[in-house]
Amino acid sequence: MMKRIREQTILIAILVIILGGIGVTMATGIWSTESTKVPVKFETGDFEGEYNPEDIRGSYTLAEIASIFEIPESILKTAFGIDESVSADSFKSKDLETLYPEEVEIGNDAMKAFVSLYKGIPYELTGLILPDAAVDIILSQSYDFDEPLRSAIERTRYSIFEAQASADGDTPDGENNTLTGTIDNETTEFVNDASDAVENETAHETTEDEPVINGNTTFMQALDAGLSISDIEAVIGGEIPSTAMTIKDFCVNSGLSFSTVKTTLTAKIEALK
Amino acid sequence: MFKHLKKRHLLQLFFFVLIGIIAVNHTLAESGGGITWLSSASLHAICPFGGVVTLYQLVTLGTFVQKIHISSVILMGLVFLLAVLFGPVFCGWVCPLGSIQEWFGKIGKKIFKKRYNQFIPKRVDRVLRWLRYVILARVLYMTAMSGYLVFAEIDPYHALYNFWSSETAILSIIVLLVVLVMSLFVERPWCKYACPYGAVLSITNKISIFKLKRTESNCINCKKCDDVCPMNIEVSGKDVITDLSCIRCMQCTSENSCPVSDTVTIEPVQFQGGRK
Repeated sequence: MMKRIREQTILIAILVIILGGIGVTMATGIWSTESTKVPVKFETGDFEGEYNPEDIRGSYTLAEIASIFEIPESILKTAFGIDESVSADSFKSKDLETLYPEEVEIGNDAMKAFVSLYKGIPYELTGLILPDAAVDIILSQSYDFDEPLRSAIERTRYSIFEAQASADGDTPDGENNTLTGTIDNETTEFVNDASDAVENETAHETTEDEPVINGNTTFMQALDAGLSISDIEAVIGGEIPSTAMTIKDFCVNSGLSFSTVKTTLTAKIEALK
Repeated sequence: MFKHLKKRHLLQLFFFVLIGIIAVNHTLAESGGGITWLSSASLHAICPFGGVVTLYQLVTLGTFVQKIHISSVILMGLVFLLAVLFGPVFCGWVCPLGSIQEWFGKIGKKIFKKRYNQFIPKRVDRVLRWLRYVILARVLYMTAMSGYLVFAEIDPYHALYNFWSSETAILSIIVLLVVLVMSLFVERPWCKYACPYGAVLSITNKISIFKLKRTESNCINCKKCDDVCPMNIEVSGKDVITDLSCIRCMQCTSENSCPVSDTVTIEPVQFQGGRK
């Protein structure tokens, strides 16, 4: 007959199994409380075996991107106008959004585009904006991009200087300054005037509730946003494998450009309003 | 300072504080600070129920539900191992949400004395006990369909350790507050009626290797075991306690409340089907 056990045995068993189990899985490298920061690789084509910049997540730090894609940190900082003193270990790709005015969408997608083109991998640039330094760096590489792609890269150019001045608050009188950022394919004025602050804030609040397709959006969330199955399948060119799958994972697995799919789906959602 | 506390209480306190420190450290780490040698994992990453809700997606797509990582699956496995051995000890000894309900319950006991934990009519209680299985089924289905951590929208455990974060759904904070207020009247209301993870672990009450056993020949029928059971189980009417609500808190045992030694104990008992 087996012995009865006491509370003390249960206490020890809980500690050993839970803490010990965590310890063992840590020691064997299985334990992880974060997404693995290893992008998928191209499985076919000219870039087979290379990491796919399309899979860069917003949580990747500059240091991680630099290490994975073998790009000097200084190049990344220069391209996006990040101050040299900023730590590459803590600055995340998604933090780019904080460097530019709200109206300028330079964030993780811009990082993906830059890394891709810097590595000589063509990238779908529709709707993207890149800082002019990034464009210069890309075009200074000796890749044999065809003329349409070179033109597309040029059209993404956005003049960063005034926007940086805005972010730094480095203005002559501190307020009532009008800043203009210029993009080659369209010109947008950014007004950083104290009197417009409330209006801008209100506009921001309005857009916060809008459905947005991002790297974490699943097909189900896109359906919830009002798109039909046929709408989505027309964009992705096939059947939705699972509503629980993220659109980004599908694109990466299928070799589709997530940026293009994202832009098209977002436009369709916008059209529903 | 902790001399009056039993081993179970100390372990509850340990995990309550540990998870709290990790949650705060996660917030600090997000803003570039925090203690580097301490885990700054997100709450989702250290919740074993995350492992349960991601299972379907893991098997069918090979990926995790948003915000869930391999750590949740590992914890799910470890907790399940414990449960196969001893039953749902996670609920009674580890879960911080269970612990805080218990602490609020102590206030309720002081206020209502013998009436505490007796407010809900037995017939209503019996029906409500199935609610957590309905919630479990709904959460698993919704998560499998959407790939989204739907339970986070109402999860009071997440609200308990993240109420300061803008990430936390207002509804989950409301649920937490309701649970804490209800704990003043009913012991562990969330565990009894709503916890989907408790619903999963409850099944191990039937299959665990070690079970709570009452030796009838020793019993003096004082019903002390019934009185102290937080889950309102009638221990005195059973030989082996396989009730799905049991959280293996051991309150009823001879080591704690039963006045006769070796009468209510935990020991290896073979599966006995529907036997009393």
